[in-house]
Amino acid sequence: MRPLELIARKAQSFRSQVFVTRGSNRVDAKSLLHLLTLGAEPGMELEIDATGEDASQAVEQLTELIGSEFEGFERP
Amino acid sequence: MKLCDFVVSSSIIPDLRVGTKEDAIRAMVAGLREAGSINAADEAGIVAAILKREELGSTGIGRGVAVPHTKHPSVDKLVAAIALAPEGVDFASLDGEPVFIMFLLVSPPDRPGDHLRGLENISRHLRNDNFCKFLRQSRTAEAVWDLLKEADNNEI
Repeated sequence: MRPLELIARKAQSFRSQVFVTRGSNRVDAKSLLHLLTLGAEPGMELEIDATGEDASQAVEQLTELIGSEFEGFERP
Repeated sequence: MKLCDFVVSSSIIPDLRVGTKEDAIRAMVAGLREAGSINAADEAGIVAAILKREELGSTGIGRGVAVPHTKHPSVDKLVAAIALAPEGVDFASLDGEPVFIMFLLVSPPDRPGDHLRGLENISRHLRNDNFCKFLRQSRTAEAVWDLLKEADNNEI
């Protein structure tokens, strides 16, 4: 769940609406509750899209964050 | 996976009045012990593990909901307790709002899939405004349990 918190916090730093999709489930990336419904696991493919003035930066930085597999992230 | 498969009915606390998040977690783990879902000898260790997890980042996920959790070798299957706090509990949530609904999960470390599926299941129902509203309106453990059964049958 902690990687999801990192995603939500990062998404919240943008003014754009940001979404993460797994299969047919597209959710608000700024909401931890919504992100939890993805049931995302390491190695799973997710799609990111955004609409708004800083949408391209949002998609770029979120992709980078998820693609890094949360490097340096300490697992409990 | 259904809510009624892993929520322990006799550990539901419909009217929890505590001052802190730590008190809430202690009360919920005690509820699991009283229900026979965890051993008394493991209670303090489970509370400590959940509190340690909270230090890494709050499990207050917004909309007045928190899902404190830990993996612990003393359980052989996923178990969950529910508490409702009408006065709210400060959980240091991401959205800064107090928490009124808590789902506490303890799962075996060697079954990470169950843990994830439990959280996914709970969050899917909590996204439903009616489920949250009816849950907060429940005054007894029986009413909460009936609501969980309705949610499992997609009747909400």
